Order: sequence, then structure tokens, then C-alpha cells
Amino acid sequence: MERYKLFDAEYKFINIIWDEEPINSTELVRLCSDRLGWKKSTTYTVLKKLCDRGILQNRDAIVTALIKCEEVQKYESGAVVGKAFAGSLPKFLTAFLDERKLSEQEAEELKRIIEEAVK
Amino acid sequence: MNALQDVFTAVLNMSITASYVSVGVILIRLLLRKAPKIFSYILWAPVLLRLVFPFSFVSVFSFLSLVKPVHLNMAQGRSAVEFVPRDIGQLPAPAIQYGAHGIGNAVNAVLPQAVPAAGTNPMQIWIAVLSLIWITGVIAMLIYSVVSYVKIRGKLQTATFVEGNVFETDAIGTALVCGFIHPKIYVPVNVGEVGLPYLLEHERTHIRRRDYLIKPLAFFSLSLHWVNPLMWLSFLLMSRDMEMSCDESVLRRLGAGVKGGYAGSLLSLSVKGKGLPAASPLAFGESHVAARIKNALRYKKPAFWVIIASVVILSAAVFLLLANPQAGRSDLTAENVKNMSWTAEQDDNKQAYAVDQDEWGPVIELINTASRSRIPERYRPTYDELYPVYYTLSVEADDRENPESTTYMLLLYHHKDWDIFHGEYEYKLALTRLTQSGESDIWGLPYSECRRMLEWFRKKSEQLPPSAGNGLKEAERSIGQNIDIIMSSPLTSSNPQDYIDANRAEYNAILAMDAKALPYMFSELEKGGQTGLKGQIMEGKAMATAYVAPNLLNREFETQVLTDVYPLTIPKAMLIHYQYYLIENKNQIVLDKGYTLL
Repeated sequence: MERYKLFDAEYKFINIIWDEEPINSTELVRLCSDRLGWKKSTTYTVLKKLCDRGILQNRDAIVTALIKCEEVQKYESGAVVGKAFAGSLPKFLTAFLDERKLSEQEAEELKRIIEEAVK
Repeated sequence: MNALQDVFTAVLNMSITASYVSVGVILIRLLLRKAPKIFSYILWAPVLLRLVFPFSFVSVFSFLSLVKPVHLNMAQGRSAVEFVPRDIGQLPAPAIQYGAHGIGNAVNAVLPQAVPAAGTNPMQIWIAVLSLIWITGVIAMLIYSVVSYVKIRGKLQTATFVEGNVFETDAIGTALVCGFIHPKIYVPVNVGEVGLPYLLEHERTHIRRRDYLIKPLAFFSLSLHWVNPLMWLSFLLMSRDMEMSCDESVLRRLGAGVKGGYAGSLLSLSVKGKGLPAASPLAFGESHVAARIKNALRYKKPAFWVIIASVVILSAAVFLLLANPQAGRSDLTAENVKNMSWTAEQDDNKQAYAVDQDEWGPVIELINTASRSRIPERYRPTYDELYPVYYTLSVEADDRENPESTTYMLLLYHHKDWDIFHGEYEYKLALTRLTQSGESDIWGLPYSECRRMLEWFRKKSEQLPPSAGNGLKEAERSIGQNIDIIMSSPLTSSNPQDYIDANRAEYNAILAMDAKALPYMFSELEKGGQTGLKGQIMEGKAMATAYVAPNLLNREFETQVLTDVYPLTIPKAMLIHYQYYLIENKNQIVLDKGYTLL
């Protein structure tokens, strides 16, 4: 069976709905703000996107899910990461790592160095 | 257009200054290679400050005194280092002095020289073009910044709350800080329990240090100075120092025992995911992650005395890099001054008038305390047409610096210039020093002092008895004679040119006269009715004199007084000379546009 692929944010969102449905959209906004830290506009944007995909339904300000838990699959984070860095990070932000990945031999070399150092 | 070019020149000066400082920082960093990276990081502060602020304080101890910037613009007590003179577009022979001989000369060889006859100055066109290219680059980089910021904010919008100011999302591959007012930490969802505390502590340190403000500021400066490759390198090195000092801070807080774990998480996070391995065009040396891992493993909490010593050395280094150099001072007193005299240089007999001892005080103070700047050779006062000296004040002293006779001279000379603080001005003041052993120095003094000395000289001139003679009478006679000869030629032509051609010798004699001829000409022209041959002869003289001062050629205007002749355009150079003679008669010419000479 073809599964719907959801991003992590959408997955968390639909979990809230499964727990609380049917739920008033205003109430949903409040819950998302509490549990996810989302602004009102964010909640409505995600809601609209999922409604357009036929995953959720928002009728008369009541939100329900149109699909069940078994029909959903989370995007593998690896694939997402690849996509995410197609548009690279702005250079003026501080980040933990820069975007270049290590080659295999570099990684092996460094692994060895670390092991030596902690001995 | 001028505003843009001024800004461009100012930025260029900041860029060159910052480049020298940058080289200094890179050299010092090499020495600090094995030391904690926090020191290298702090060293970049002077570079950033110099990129953003054109001014700085003056100190005897300055790194830049090693490179001897050509011009220290000391307007209004603030000191800005200048390698590119602000009016480079108007100079007859423009040059940029980089301070280190080799570089400067190579660049100057390709700078176009002004060609007065052509009317335009190619340097002006160059500056206009370059400043346009520069501002285009700046705008492009700013647009890139805005666009990429908007994009990343879009991605982070659906990040979900974890704790405090930490959010997680699957839209990013590494932890980052975003936001200028209330910065939030964003982590990737799959980062794993082991690596998470390290990530968080690292980013929290960035927040504590306000790096989320510093890095954008540095990038903004880079946008302004994008033409300077050394600044790109500095940005790269600064970013590395920033990250590594952050790593060290984390290790300090969590204890050096976590070194292995920290390095391990750095490693594992850089190989995760399906991204392609490092094939970056910008890679030089080892990868950034490898350097960070090695640095983290090497970290040891430094001994207390090492910290103290480093702080002291660092403070000294930052101070030296930030300070603008100073040109020396003197130590004159009423005791070691032997005598003082002044001269009006454009006079025929150039008599030196002694200055009473009770007037020495202010002059001594001026020489001792006035801020000095270096004058590039081509702007120096000269006794001929280019930057004629009008007044000099000589002070003979036993300088305490060297116990031999030293002569100081204040030179008031003509050098029309424009600056941001004083607008247009006519005169400059220079100070020269000549020792008996032959050492000589020349410095420029601030405009405020120039104005003071101008007043002083004027007052002194007024106090003089009317002058016995200064060669004007001779000139008057001579011109009158020559003109009479030309006009009494036995020709019947109505074309004045024929008369001139017939008496070339006399005409050339008039042209060859120096500015002494001018008062006669002007007084004749003022009388009016000088059309025809005589007027044309005098106009020819006017033009001839003009060519002697090519840099002033383009400053022409009409004189109201003389418009009953055909409107004579008289280069201002001549009027200034004329006015100089008129001082004796206390006359003044008031010109069109309300322009008053002295």
C-alpha cells in the first residue's frame, strides 16, 4: 500500500490530531503553541498543506484526520538532509558544522587519532 | 556622484588600513598556533573595527607607524589614516601611496595622469567607474544575505519545541543559531542523545558570546570590502577561530574528560547522511572539522599565569593594532628659541620682519602641540606657481631633542582643497624643521591652526608701514611702453591680431612678464572701455599666465567689474596674485557670486 510521506513536523502535528480529534481549529492552534511552540500562522499553514494533500480535513473549523496511523511513513532524515543542503546555509549564521562532509579516508584517519588521544 | 566616490574612497582607505592590520593579526596568530584559540579570535577585533570605523585614537605606539601611511587626515581632532587622498580625482598626477615602496610604485605606474589640456581628468572617470562597480558588488552581497536569511527562516518555521530556546526540525543537517533579538537554537531531529549536549553547549556558548550578532556584522563588513581578497581570508580565519574557541569553551565547562566524546560527536556528525564527501573548491589545508577535532583533543586548561600573560600581551597587541600613528612633537620654550621672524614671500624684496619676544608664546605652543600629518610630496608648498607660499614664519631654536640649532618654519601656502568638515578652503599650513646637521622634515598642520596663522599674518601685514616699492611701478611702465609700441604700428588694419603679429617681440615681452603685470592690467580694465587692441593684448596676457598654473585652469568665472570689456574669463590664479599685491593698497575685489578674495 502506498504510504503518505510526512515530514517530522507534519508527523508530530498529525499525532496531536489523532489524540484530540475532532478538534476545534482554534483549540488546535493553542495546543500546537503549547506543545510545539508554533505561531498561529505556522499552524494554519501546515494545516492547509495537509488538507490540500487530502490527509486532514478542516470543515466548519473542526479538524479531523482522513488517514490512519498505518498509512503514514516518516521521511527518512537522510533524504531530507540531502535536500536541505541544496540551498546552503548563510555564511553569517553560526552553526555547529559547516556543510562539507568528510571523505571516508579522512574519517578513518580522524577516528584513529581520537582513539589514540583517549587512551 | 561625488558622495558615492567619497564613500568609496573612505572605504578603500579603511580596506587598506584593515589589510595591514590583518597581516599583523595573521602573523601574530602564527605565533599563537598552539595557544587557546580564544586569543586568536579576539585578535580579529581590531580588523573588524577598522573595517567599520574610519577613525581611531592616536598614540605614539602604533603598529601602523611601521608602514608609514602617507596622509593622516587630522580634521577636527579625529584621526583617520589615509592611503588614498580624498581628492584623488582632481589631482594633476594622482598616486596612491601604499606606504611600502614597491607596491605603491607598481600601482602608480598604471594610474592615468591628468591631462590639463584635455580638460577632463581620466582619474576622475576611473574613480567613478570603480565606485559604481564597488557599490554593485555591495548590493549583490546584501541581496544574497537577505534572500538566504529569508529562505532559512522559512525552513525553520515548522521547527518544534524541545526545551527552553531549543527547537528541532528535520529541515537542517547541523545545529545552528538563528535570530537577532531572541536567538533560538535549532537542532536536527536525528542528532542522537550522545551528541545533543555537546551541540547545545556549543551553540549556547555562541549565544552567550553574542556571536549571532558578531558574525553577521563581520559578513556585512565583508560585503563592503568585497573587493579585498585579504578580507575574505580574514573572514574565513576569523570564523574558524570563532568555532574553535567555542569548542574550547565547551570543554572547559564540561570538563576536559569529555574531549574524546566531543571529538567523536564532531566526527560522527560530519559523516552522517547521504551528503557527498568533501570536494569543496575552497578547501585548503585540512578540513575545518579535522582541525577542530585535533584542536579539541589537544585542549588543556592553561595555567593561571599563562592566562594572565596572554591577556596582557593580547591587550597590548589589540591596542597597537587599533592605534593610529602619530608624527612627533617638539619641545620649544621661550628659553631655547633664539629668534623669530616672518616674511611675506610674494614681495619683491622679501624682507624679514622680527617678531617681538612677547609674541612668541602662541607660536611656540602651536609648534609644540599642533597635530601633525604627513604631506605627500606632490602637495608640498613650493615657491613657484603650483602651491605658492605666501607667508613664512621662521623660528630658530636650540631644540631640546638635539642640542644644536634647529630652524622651524611655518609656511602658509595656497592649496585649494575640499574636505568633509570644512568645505572649501584656500590655504594650508605646513611646518618644516631643518637641523644644522641637515635633517629636514615637513608636516601639515590642521586647518584650525592655518586659519589662526592667516589672521596673525594679516594683522602683521596691516601693521607694516606702506611699502616703499615692490617692482610694480617698473612693470607698469614696461607694459605701458610695450603696448604703446604695438598700438603705434604704422598699420591701417582693423584687426587687432595684425598689430600683434607685427610686433611679436613686444607682445611676447608682455606675455613673459610675471604676475606683476596684472595690477596694471586690472586697473586699466576697471577704467573701462578697453575694447579693441589694448584689451586683446591684455586678455592674451591673462591667458598666458593661466597656463602657468594648470591645475587651476578649470576654475574660471566672469568678473562683474570687467564686463564692459568682452566678458573676460580670468583664471583665479591670477586674481589671487593680484589680490596679493593689492594688500598694500587695502583694496578688495568683490566678484560675481559674492566671492571675496582675502
